[in-house]
Amino acid sequence: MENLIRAEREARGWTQAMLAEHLEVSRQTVVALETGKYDPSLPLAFRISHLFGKTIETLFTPPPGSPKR
Amino acid sequence: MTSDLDTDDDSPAEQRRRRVFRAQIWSGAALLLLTNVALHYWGQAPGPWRWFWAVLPILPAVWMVIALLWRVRQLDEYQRKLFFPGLVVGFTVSMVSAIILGTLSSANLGVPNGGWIIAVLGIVSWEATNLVVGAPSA
Repeated sequence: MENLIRAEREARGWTQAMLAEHLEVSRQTVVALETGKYDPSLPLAFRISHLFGKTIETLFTPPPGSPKR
Repeated sequence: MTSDLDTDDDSPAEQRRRRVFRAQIWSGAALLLLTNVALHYWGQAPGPWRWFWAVLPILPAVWMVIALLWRVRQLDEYQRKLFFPGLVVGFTVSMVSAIILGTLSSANLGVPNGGWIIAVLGIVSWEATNLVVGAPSA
């Protein structure tokens, strides 16, 4: 799943370690999220959404071909 | 696609957790080694002290398991996902090794110190899997 986590983090001038601290996860997890290697659980997705002040739908884009509403 | 904001440093909280875990696990390993040396030198003598020296290494081993459990509880969801395959492989290799040694023993082909072989095979396969999947290091 593609996401805007990296763009949002860089817009705030945060390092990956700073974002990791905010989200209470490891930097390894932030890297995996930003590169789309790992899709977060719903609770973590809500934490990210709350931190950046954006909706989950804005931050995360489903992969092409996935069913739409 | 890196920027100045992409550093290799982990967050302070993660660094602190790793430092504590390293101190706990290495102190346990050192005590395990010391108690095994003591067992080697004094554990062969007859008498009740033999039991004491035989049981003593279990304490640091239990301590290491507790430290590992604490560490696993601190891992986030992605780290746990990476950590899980190593545990599965390590457990499976240990169980299969135990069964093999057990069947050999049933045929009077017992391997001396078989418990250590099981432990070493389990730990090595666990760590090798961790390396392959990129599980969080200590």
